[in-house]
Amino acid sequence: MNEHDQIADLLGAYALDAVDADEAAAVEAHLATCPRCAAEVADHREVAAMLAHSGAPAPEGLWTRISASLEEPPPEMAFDLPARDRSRGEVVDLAERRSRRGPRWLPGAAVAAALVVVALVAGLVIADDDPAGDRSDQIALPALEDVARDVMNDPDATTVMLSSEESELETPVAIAPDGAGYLMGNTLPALDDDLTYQLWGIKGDLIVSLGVLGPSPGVVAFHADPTLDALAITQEVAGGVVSSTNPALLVGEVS
Amino acid sequence: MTIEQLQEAGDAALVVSIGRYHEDALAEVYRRHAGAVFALARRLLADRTLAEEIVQEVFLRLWNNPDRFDPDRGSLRSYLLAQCHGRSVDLIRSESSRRRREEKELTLAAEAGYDLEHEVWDMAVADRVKSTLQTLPEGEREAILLAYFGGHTYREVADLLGTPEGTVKSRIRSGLKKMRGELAGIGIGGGA
Repeated sequence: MNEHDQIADLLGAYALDAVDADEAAAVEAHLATCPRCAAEVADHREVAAMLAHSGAPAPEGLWTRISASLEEPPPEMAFDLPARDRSRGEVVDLAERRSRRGPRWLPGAAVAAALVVVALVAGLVIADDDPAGDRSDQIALPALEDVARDVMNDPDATTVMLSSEESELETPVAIAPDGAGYLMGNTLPALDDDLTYQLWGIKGDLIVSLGVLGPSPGVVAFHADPTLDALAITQEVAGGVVSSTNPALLVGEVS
Repeated sequence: MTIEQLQEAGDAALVVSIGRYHEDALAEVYRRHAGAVFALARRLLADRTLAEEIVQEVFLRLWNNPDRFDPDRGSLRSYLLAQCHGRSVDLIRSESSRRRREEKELTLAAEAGYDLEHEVWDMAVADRVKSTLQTLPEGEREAILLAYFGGHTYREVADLLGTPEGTVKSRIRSGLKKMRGELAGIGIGGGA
């Protein structure tokens, strides 16, 4: 039995969540490259959904709870942004940094509180024509690198170097005047599969997700207003978060 | 968008609306599918409170990450149920509940397939689905029910039934394929 057949033999059990974690990971890796097997899993899940079919109504009051949790003030966007000097390269002691409350790491970019995600839920986004707000598409194709490099070299584009206080890590970003942004994520060390990098845009008091970058981003396209104050990257659980409570790994002021 | 328009909109369009933070779209998806999601979680977890938490999590996840649903990969209902099943099974397999289950299974192992099979009749409301399931060879039917409604891995199913693992794995797959073929043949389960 070749590798494809071995994986294919697991597809039924996989679709019913009846495989071990290591087998699930192997199947998922295969599905990413095999449309035929991916379609088979989708078919199995349709059958499973029919088995589960039930006309019973959901419990009363549950929607009210779900709806209320959409409207509740979200957890505070507690970016632990570094209190850095505007001149790049200054190292700020981490303990000292954490002891400060509400560090002003950028003029006018006070760390946003509940406001942030309230704004997200209300559909407010940074002056951005994309109606889907921060749910920007991410594309990672080889040809993207050429496009990204062109934008990096475009004198009209806004370029930002995201850097880390704690390491030499640097990640360049360029945003074209039309808002097409490119992040050269090749420099970021790969994370475990259950984690992801996430890109954030900061403008005034708003912090908005610009995209979930995945555990080992290459060149990533996103959409953002070039007049942002700053960009930041955090590490989050796979799938990303609406509001981060993690410290920024890299930050860059948009000049 | 009015409520009437929303009701007419397809599931995929509702998810696009959710992507634009339209809460009424999420409410409509909830109205359409939450009953099935809740029933599945309750069947798997046998605990109403936990089942409600799973439903809440599934719908909040759809709200927060609507782009994870790919309409080309199947219906919204099967997506939501798969999310629900995955989370429920995670809970079932967590260490604390595993101990409780193992105790319970010592006494139930022999007739587990039989009991589960009877339980599913109550919830599989579509007669056609039920009768299609009935046409499967017993080994395939048992393996599918123990895996899906029992939340067991195929290895556990093999232990429970005293059948080789490879056989169980193949039976689950072939049984699901047969059901898909049968149901498609009578016009059920065309996808989204």
